[in-house]
Amino acid sequence: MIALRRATAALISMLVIMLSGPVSAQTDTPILAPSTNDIHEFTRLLADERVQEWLRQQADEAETATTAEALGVRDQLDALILRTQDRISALVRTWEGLGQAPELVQGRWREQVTDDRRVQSLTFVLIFLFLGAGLEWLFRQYSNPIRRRLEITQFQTPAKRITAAITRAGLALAGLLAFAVGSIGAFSAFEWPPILFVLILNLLMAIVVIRVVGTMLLLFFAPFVPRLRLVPVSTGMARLISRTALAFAAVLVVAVAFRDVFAQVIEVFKPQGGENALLAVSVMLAGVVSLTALLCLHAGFFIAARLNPGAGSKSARKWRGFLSLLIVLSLAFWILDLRPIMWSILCIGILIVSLKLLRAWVDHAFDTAIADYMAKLPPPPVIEASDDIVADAEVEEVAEVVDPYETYRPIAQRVVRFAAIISVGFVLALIWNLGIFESAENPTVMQRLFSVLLDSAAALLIADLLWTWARTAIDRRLNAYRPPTDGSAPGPEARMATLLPLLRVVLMVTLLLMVAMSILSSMGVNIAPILAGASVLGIAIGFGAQSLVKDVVSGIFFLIDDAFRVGEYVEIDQLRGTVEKISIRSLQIRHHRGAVHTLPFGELKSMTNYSRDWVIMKLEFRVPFDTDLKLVKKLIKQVGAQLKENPDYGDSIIETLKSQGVRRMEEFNMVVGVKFMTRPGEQWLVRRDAYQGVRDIFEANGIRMAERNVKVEIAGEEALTDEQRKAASAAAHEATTNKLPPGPIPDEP
Amino acid sequence: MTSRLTPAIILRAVRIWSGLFLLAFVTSHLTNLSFGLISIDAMDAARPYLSGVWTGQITGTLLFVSLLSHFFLGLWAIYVRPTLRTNTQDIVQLLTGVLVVPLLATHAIGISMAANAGLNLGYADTVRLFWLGAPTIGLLQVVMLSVVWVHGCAGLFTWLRSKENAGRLLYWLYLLAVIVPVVALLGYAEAGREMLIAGQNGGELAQNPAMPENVTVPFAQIRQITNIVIIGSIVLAALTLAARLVRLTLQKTQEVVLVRDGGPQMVSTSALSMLDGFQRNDQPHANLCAGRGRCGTCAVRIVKSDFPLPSPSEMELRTLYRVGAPEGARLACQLKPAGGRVEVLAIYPADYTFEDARPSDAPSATGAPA
Repeated sequence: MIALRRATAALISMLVIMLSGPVSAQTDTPILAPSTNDIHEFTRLLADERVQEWLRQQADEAETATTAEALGVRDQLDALILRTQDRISALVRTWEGLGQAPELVQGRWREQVTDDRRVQSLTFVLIFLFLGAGLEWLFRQYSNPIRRRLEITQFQTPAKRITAAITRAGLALAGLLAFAVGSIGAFSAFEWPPILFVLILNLLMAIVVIRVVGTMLLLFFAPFVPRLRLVPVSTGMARLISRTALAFAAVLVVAVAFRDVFAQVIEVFKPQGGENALLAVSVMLAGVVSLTALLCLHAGFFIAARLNPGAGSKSARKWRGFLSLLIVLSLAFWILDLRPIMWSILCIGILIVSLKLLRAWVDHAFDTAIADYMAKLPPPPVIEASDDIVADAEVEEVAEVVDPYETYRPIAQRVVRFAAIISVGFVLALIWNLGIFESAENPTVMQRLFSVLLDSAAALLIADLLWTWARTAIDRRLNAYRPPTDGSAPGPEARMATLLPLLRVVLMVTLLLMVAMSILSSMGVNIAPILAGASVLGIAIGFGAQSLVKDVVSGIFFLIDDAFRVGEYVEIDQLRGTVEKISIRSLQIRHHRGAVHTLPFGELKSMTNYSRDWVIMKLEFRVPFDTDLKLVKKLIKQVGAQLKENPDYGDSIIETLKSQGVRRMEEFNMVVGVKFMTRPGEQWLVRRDAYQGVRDIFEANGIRMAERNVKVEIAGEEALTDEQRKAASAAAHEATTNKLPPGPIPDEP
Repeated sequence: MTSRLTPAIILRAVRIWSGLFLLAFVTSHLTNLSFGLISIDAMDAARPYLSGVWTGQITGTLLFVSLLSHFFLGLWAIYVRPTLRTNTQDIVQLLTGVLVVPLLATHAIGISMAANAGLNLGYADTVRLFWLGAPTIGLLQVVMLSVVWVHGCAGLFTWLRSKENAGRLLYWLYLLAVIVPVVALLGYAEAGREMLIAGQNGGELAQNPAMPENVTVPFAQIRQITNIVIIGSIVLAALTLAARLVRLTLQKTQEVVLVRDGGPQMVSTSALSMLDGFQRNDQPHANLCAGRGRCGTCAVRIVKSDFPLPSPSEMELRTLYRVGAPEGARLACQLKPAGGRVEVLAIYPADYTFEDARPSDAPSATGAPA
């Protein structure tokens, strides 16, 4: 599977070389400014009425011609077919005259380039090559310490590894530059006859280009230094791939150079039947290049299968077939001289392969980065038994560390895919010469179609990129959210569980709308009315559903304010209960007796949240005046310690029960205040046990709770009559039963 | 430390000094060639001082003896060496060494025998021959020059790199190693152009001068001897390789497992030195003299060996003593373990050069790269 990279690299290099060919062939001659005479003549001619009339006619005709051209897809197709027919007949003629063509060319060649001349030029070439090689060797000797250090050092982070690989390739390229400057520079310092010039220059260029390909392969595959390899393949595969790719590149470059030399020779000498000979040579070379490509491909796959036994032979066969088909098709279209179609097929084929490879590459890069990150993490700390609650929470957090790169994996993959597709799109546009970069007045159908396609693809890909990023980020947050277990307070991330799905839907709708709009706009549909209509509709809906909008908007702000979370105990305008569900419009709270209240957010003015951070609860005990307060303090402290040790809620107590001393004196007793601080929701249980514990310990230590009693003081010495006694006890009873002092608020759920 | 001269040490010295002598001659001769940048006449004017001094009675004999001994020592090295797949430089040196004599034969024998016959060939004659008369021979001269120079420089730099205080000097020599042949080749090319132009215009320079009276050059004999030398040297090289092949097939080898610094296991054979074993497994190891036992940078400390190791040779002991290696250290390039598993610690990091401060008396035992 990985062997496919080889073909990709080779084909890309072919693309670069072949595309650079025609560009260098262009020559421009300088245009001189017109003389004064010319200008006078021109103005005189322009003033002539006949000339003006003729110009007008020409302009009209040109206009009709442009429209015809713009519309005539059919004509274009006809022209294409005609051209292909011409080409085929030329091929047939070449085929018929194939016997004498090489002879003819050989004869001409021998005539022009004699044996002596060839040997002499070879001598010169050798001298130049030695010069270039000498310079490169010198550069290498001076840069060797750096290179050796790069190859030997163990790099810790991927970034450093990549830098080292690039530096190493940069050194190799700099050496190559020295070689090129030395050899080609020395060559161009001499004067040459044109044929020799072309021959030698092509030879030197071919050597340089092949070595550049070799250096690029070195950068990516590093066949001998696995540490600096950018592409995730084994050493054997790296060597195989770089060797086959280099072999193919060499054949390709030599073929291109040879054809160029041949074309120049034909152009200079113009022999009889030279065109046919050139065609024959070109077709032959193309055949050789394609054959080499096929050979390299099959040999590469064969050896790769032996290197990785049992690694997806079926898919390997599929890819091999695909690439072979690609090569054969390219050859066929090249022979028929349908270059744009050939390039398109080649580009799209390479795109398909490279998308797959790039995906694997990005995956691997992320895998290594994550593995590095994991390796760098400290080992999980050993949990000690005496840890208190805060430390426990920390330990849990450390254990749940997720690597920081995972979110970016789909994004990176999409960015890479985006870049690949867009660049291939641009290359295709260049190949078809669509001129999408110029704003044509009357674009052709193809131009229109292509720019629409390109725009839509860009819009879709960018939207996809954004959507993936947002979705991964949101899903990650949502997956990390654990709904609170019964009885514990929900954390601050609870509101995210509410807001994030909403955000996701809103984002998706927005993105879809934007993509649809931009595609429509690139297709030439005027989207302004749609936008205007949508905004009118929006205003109408906004007025109609004013309160609904109010609910939604205030809901969002309540959530952002973190005023309440699911599971919290809140009070809103006399309504109390646990928040059970938060929707986009309303809030549902369940009263502790089961009733469910639904409150639209718009109605919420203020609210009280009982479940935040901590709760202080104060209790009071009434004891007689003769109680030993120090003993009380000590006993309460004991109770507090007991509570703290409770396995169920001990951890939730932030400050345990403690005495606050006498809070006030009443008519018949002292009021001893105690207080404790717990996490929200735990206070009821603690209070229950605190009451019980204090009562028990008071009783055990002989402290009585003060009871309401009435002392009846009787004046006089004589004993009371029964009636008097009854009246007194009735009065006392009345005094004790009435006017209960204010106790704690009955607020327990 | 004894100063006993073992055959290995003598051979090494002879190889180095004969090579240096030959290189000195080549350098001088190339400097003469670079006068071609001025003119062919200038080349001839400088000839007695730069080339003539080397072909006198004594110097000529010395040159001949050096060439012969260097050639045969080279063949011997090919035969003896455990592996030929060491590093690029060694392979280049081997190939160029084998090629030198066949390439040189035409030039050297032709000129010297013509001189013996009384025909003193000047640069104008040779340049005419090489560029106009027989361009193929001219092409071969360029090839020969490159091959000889590359071979000479490879040997020189391998030798110098094992010298501790050659560091600064090397950087200048590198420059010289490029300038000398490049200028010589450019001189040759310029002389050739001068000659070609003369040939096109029918200039006097391009005319073959009349053969002086009473001189008969035995051309047939020259050709015969040249052919014998060319074929003979090629046959000799082929025979050496064949003998080497026979030696390797007859040699019984054991598998050796090398472990360096507790790293991965490296499988090697008893026919290979430890350094070759490292290199075969793509594990870089310091070796400034390319495994010739001169520099001592490949030294390792033996931790454990299944079988007793062969005792060090005189040459190895000298080198170890010179670099002040600790007790129990061996040169990886000279040590051929007999078999089994050998665990060692590298004493110097793999990218060690003499510019790095040499660790004082006791080099760090770990030696792992930082």
